[in-house]
Amino acid sequence: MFHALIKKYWSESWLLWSACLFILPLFCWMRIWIVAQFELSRLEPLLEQLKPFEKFSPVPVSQFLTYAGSIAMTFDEPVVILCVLVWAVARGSDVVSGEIHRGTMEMLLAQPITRRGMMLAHAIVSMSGLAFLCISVWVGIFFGIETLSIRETPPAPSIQLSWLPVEIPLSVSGASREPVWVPLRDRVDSGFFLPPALNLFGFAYFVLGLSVLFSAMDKYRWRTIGIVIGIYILQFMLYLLGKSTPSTSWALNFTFFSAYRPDDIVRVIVEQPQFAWAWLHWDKSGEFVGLGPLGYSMLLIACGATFHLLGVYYFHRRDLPAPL
Amino acid sequence: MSGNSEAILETRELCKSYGRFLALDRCSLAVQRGEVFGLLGPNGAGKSTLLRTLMGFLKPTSGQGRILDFDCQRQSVEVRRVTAYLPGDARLFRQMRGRDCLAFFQSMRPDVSKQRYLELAERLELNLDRRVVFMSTGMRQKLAIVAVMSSQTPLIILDEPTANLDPTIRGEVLQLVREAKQQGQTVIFSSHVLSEIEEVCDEVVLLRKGVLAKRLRLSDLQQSHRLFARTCGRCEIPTELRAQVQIVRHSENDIVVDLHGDLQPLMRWVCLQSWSQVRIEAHGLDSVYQQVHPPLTPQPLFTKTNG
Repeated sequence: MFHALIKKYWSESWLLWSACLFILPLFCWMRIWIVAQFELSRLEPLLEQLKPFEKFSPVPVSQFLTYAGSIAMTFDEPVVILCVLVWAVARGSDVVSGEIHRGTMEMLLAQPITRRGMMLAHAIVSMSGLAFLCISVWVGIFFGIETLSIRETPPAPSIQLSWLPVEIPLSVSGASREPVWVPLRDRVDSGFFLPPALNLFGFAYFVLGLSVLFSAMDKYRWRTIGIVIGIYILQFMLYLLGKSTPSTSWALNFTFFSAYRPDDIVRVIVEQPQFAWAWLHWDKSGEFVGLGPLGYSMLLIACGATFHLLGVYYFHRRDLPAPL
Repeated sequence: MSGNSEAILETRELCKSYGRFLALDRCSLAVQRGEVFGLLGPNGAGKSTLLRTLMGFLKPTSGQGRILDFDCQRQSVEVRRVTAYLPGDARLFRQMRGRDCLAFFQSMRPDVSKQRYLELAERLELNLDRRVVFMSTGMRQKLAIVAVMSSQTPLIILDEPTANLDPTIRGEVLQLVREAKQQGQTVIFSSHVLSEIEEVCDEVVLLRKGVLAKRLRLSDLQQSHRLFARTCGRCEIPTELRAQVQIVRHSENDIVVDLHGDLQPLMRWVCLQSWSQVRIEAHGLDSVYQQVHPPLTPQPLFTKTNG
């Protein structure tokens, strides 16, 4: 019986899921290919021009000139965000208000299944679908790192004398050095991007849980989608407000965007690999910084799960309106 | 609940209100095993609200309902395990083919056999290879009927099952209801169509504004008649006939009388009256319905003829 429900939800969602699954790894691979086209060290002069916008950035802009930093930006790409959000909102809004809106809820609940069972079957399909999408992002990054090479200009040969703290260049001709191809995997570890992938899952699960909650309270799917998108935009505006000036930084405490920080997570992992899966984070001087990569992801997942459970609770108690 | 051992379904003082609007008002009824029980009433009378409350879709404001000793609220899953329910506006999963849809319902209910639903689909001339989204309203209704009627549950609830169906299929559905009764299943049949209720039901309740306004057995109805006549004076009913004769309407020129029981002794009294243009009709459900729900515009008893 439960298996039949899962099959039903899967048959309703496989097309969207397949489309996202096709796009995400391909896009991630392509983005890394684009990153690999540039010799990032040559872009350093641009750094000064980006400084005024650094306050809007989750990490120092200098990180974007590292391969790890620029690959981490994949998680901020609109295509990636859009794909996981479309999945989260589409599936989350469908569970109750979607079935009521289509008029199929009565025939479904006329069967001997509990409302909780129905929600659980839906959650299994939605969450595992989301998990695979996030994994597919990482898989795209992994294949990008494993298969692509970058051009690097090797440093000029030099010699360091043991009694002098300076390097003495050996070339005196001043002839330009030829760039060489270096496998990207020699510069970046694909494992760095697993914690950000979990962070992406937490981010999308937050939206999925929110969608389920509003779906459980509503009878029109379009209204559920509208409310969730409205909240999302409001949260994003709070994030921008919080980032823009120190006096409005309080707003960052009221937006879930503050917990979505794949760039920062990669920065922490590069600088302190021992904190890759840490709940809390201390800097190199031993000072407590805040939540660690795992902490942020779990915070988002916990919020999403709370919304999800509230949705189940509300659906269990509510009246089902007649088909519209 | 009253311990009516023969009742498969019982409600006691069941109420459902939406704010100030009382959709169901202290509804108490019992449905006996193995009968076809009709629910009759106009739109908004509370038929679907009653059925949806029994299925656990709506939480009652007060009172309770039981099906086969299972509480409709607290044991809703058990209730739905022993009940097959066809909603008033049955809609199915649009992306599925008819065959997949029935297979889905079969997997949800162990008592449904594939052979049975294929047989029913053939009887109702249903194309199972078509996707639900491409089916006409009538075909979707037939598909839902097949899904529900192929179940072997002790209780079947049909909320306006013949809506959107052509007369042939409508007759076939009524036949399925009769067959379900023969197999010992109890059927609750909600409808607007009086002739259908008369045709298949053993007992019927009429709802009006959420209240159970009248309850009668169809077998009793067959012994009732209605008399229409022209009259020019007042009519007095003898004391010994008052139990069988009831004046429904008496104007200056017309009279309408309900006659209950054997007609032979009553006809002697009728012959003694100074009435003309006497017409006697079998007392159908229609006249009972009109007692409970008077027509918005009074109907003339006799149509005027030229000259």
